[in-house]
Amino acid sequence: MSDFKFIHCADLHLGSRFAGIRSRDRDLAKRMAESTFSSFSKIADLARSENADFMVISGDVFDKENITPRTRFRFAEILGGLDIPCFIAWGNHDHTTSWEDDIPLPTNVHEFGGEPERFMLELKNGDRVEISGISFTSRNTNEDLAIKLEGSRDVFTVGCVHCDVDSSDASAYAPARLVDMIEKDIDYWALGHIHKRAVLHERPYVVYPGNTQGKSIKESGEKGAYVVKVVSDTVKELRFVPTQEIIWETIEADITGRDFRSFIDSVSSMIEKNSVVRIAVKGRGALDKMIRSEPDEILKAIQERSAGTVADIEVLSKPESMPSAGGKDLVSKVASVADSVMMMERDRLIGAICSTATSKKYLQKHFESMSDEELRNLVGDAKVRLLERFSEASE
Amino acid sequence: MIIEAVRIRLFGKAVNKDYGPISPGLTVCYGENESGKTTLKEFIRTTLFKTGKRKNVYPQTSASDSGEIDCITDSGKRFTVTRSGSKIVSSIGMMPSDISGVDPDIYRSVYAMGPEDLIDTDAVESGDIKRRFLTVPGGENMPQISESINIGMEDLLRPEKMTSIKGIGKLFDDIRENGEAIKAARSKGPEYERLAADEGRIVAELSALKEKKAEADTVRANIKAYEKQEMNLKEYGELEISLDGMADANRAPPEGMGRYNELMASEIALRKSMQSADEKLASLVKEMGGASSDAVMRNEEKIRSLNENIGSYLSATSDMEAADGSASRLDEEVAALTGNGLSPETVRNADTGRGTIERASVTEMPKKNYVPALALLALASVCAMAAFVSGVPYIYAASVVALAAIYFVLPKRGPEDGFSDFISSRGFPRDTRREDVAGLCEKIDRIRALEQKRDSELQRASNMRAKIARLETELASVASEAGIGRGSFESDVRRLNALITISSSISEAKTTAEEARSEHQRAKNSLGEYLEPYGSAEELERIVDLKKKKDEIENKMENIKKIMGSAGIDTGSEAPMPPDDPAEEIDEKQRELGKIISQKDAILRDAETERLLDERSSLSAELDSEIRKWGVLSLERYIADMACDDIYENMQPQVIRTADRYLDMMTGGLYRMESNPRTKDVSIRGGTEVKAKGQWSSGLAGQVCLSLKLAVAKELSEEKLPILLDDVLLVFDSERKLGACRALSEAAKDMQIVFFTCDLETCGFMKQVGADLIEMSL
Repeated sequence: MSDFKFIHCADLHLGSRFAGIRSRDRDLAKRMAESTFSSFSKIADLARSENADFMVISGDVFDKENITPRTRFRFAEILGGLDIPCFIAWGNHDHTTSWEDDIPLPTNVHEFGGEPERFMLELKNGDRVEISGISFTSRNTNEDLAIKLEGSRDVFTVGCVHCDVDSSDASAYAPARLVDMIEKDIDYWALGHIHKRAVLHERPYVVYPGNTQGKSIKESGEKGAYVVKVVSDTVKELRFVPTQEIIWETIEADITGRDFRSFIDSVSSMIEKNSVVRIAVKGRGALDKMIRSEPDEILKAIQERSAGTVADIEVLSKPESMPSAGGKDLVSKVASVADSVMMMERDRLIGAICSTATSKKYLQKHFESMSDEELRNLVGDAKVRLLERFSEASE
Repeated sequence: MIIEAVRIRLFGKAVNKDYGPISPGLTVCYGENESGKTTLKEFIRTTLFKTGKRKNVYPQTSASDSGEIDCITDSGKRFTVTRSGSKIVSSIGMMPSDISGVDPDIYRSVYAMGPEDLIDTDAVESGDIKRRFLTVPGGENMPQISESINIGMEDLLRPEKMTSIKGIGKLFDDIRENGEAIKAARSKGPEYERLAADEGRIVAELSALKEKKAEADTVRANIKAYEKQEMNLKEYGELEISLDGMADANRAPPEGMGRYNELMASEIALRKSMQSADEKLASLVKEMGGASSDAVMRNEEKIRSLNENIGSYLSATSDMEAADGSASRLDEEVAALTGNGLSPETVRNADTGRGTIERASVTEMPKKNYVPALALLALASVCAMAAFVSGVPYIYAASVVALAAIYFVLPKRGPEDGFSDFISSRGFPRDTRREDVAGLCEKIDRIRALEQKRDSELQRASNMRAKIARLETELASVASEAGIGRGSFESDVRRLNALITISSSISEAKTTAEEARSEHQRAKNSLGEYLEPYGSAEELERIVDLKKKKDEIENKMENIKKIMGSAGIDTGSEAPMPPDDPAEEIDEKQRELGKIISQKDAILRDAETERLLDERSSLSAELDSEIRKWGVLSLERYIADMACDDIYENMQPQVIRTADRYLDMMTGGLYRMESNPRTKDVSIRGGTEVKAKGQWSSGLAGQVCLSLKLAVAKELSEEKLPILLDDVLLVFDSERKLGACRALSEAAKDMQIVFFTCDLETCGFMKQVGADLIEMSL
């Protein structure tokens, strides 16, 4: 029966860049990339302050497309500062390449390979714990890696793997089934891959700690690692500790009845220090036109007055008045056509946007990568802007 | 509005011509040239829609123009427009232009056409008419909006070709360049791998070289030791020789120069103490200012006593002066009191007791005998009277004097002498009067008291004087002995008192100086005694130095002896040969290794890739933003196009639809007319072919223009105005003429058309389509 404490984290994505930023501030991009390191450094500090016996990292430490020798070197430096064993199962984003092995990780780090491996760790108090793990060896695999892991009946076993639990069968990221996992002699499944933290099961524990730093507005809220306390081979405490440097948030800002100054002041006051926000502009009013036509200027004005960082503005507001779609004039026809375009099926809509050879060649794939909601927002924006043009021209 | 009849009284060449009734539909006015067609047309036009005088237009208006036109409005109201010279009036007060809202110029260009007007489509395709009739409601600004969208899109992305000058094209280019830079930067990963392999190889080579060097180092060390041994032997021999001639070193005291230095330091210190004591003594003696300290000390008690008596002395002086002053003032008082006939004897001797005063009052006093005197006085008075009467004044005066003398020399009566004796016996003058006795006694008592007080003051002054004299005498004696000049008592005593302290210090300083002198002498003696065996300090130093050198040499020799013993090298054997040294090779390898390590380190610390990735991130964000902008614009254009297509398909402008109907009839269905909603330009569709304005033949252009003008005329005003066409079909071929006549017949269902022609064929076609005929002649 062992007593010990360990840290479980995953999806560090060190050095990865952030998506969905309207701001053209290049320092912001740099600061955001740096935040992944900062968050992991805090996890290392957490391991020290908690006197953890070991750490498990369940994949996606790096982004393959962003990894540089320096990234791996910095990761090695942080790990080298820990005097506890660290176990890494690589994920789909950081399956190893040849040159990376030449930048060695410190001796306290154990990397799992492509075959299942069981590592018996003797703790300082003489207790034992088993860490069973396996790594990705390529970017995609539809092989169930989790099912390959084995544990011990008489020793607390931590299963360390990067996998996709109970998603579609067609998943290319080591699809696994929860029912299979809980049948194994593994007491704690330290998983990685899903960026939203989740405890899928208790006894045995099946845990996604989420990523350590949100990378886009879709990954809002606190991010960090779990501190797992095991007493007499039983998980007594599973405590999430936020370590993120930047918190992504969406702030809803209503323009109804507001003038420019009061809108800017009101939005600025809502933005907290160290937060990175997307401002979702809602409501109806005269400001709609200004925000649509000069979103960058509005962003800049809010940024200058706020403590945090404004990454993006999403204009979901409406102008003071919109022509109805029922009239027989051209403007009403525009409104009704826009409404029908909004309902168009995705491919047709993209075809409508990219109707020229040049746009088909260069831009179509960009629109194809957008979500349905993003495409609909474009249509909504086009409708409002077009109606504004009619309104301006008739003034 | 329909023209029912026209009566020309005088206009141009026409005189008293009546035309009517005129059909509300299509009427053809046929006549040869000069038959009055244009005159009629112009009369109608210029009467219903009065214009200013125009040059080169037949017929010119004149003051004699006159006539009437009977009309009926669409609402059935009949009225007559009467023309008389330039004056034109309507029977209902409103002219056709007022009823219809059509101004005369528009009427002339749209409703009253000549052949030349058929090639001018600008009249209906420009300005207000175009805005009003060639678009659907709300579509007026479509061209401007469409252009603005296109400009916006082209700013972001040229439709025909991607360029890297600006917008999305530039961002693509930037991203491509950034991608290449990242690719180059990321090649450092494999580069690191190569360097790591090189590092491993060089480390292995270095290891082998270092082993080789260690062996070589051992051999070299042996060689060095051998050489060292030989050198040591040589040095030992030289040192042995140098010991000769150092016998004097044995005389050196074991403590070296230490003891000598101590004694020397002591002597110097004591000499300084002695000098210091002497200086202090001299300073004190100087402070005495020539006074004898011994004498001061001898008289210390006297001086202290005098010092204590300074107050007494000053007090005595003050008292003495006060007593002298007081005595002097008392003397003056006594003198003042004794001045009034009081002799000193009386003051001294008179008995002023109570008995004297009481007895004086009772003792009988002597009285004068006045009888002889009175007799004499009477006599004298008689004499005086006689003298007065006689007038001899001197006799009178002599009598008075004689009488007075007699009175005063009258003898006293006895026993008056009793009081005088008594008072005289009491020490008073005999002539003292009884009533003065008490006052005299009091005065004398006062004088005696003052004298007694004065004497007392004098005695006190005398006592003080004696005391002062005693103290002065004592001070004079001490000052003389001490040798100080005299000044005031107080200052002298105080100075002497101060000299006691200095004299006391002098005494102590003398003792100190004496002791210091003795101690210095002792130190000097000790130093001399110490140096005696060596003769001099220089000699002692020489011997001590010699001893030091000797000791050093002996120590060195001892060390060499030890080294030679421990080395165990037989210097007699042959020296080993030096091996090949791989040091240079090692240095080179280490340099190479250092270079690789720093290259690896540079790669590990290289932030350029990160910077490029940041740049890529920003560029991608920027591109995303620009593409979204473009997407919105593209959707705007798409929505606008769709809306236009949709609305124009169902809601072509009424003018276009009407014109299209007329054109359809004119061309036998070959051409249809439509309007481009984005430009509002009229275009002609023939089958699948669409012909824009510049692509029409002159015939087609005439047909289009006529159709458009008829349609505009129909739509321009709610009040339908009569159309006056002056041989507008002359340019058409027969087929087009017939088509046009059909179209005119169709149009005449909605509005009155009066067609003037000299062309028989046209006239025939007109009649064929049902037109009423008016044959023209002048």
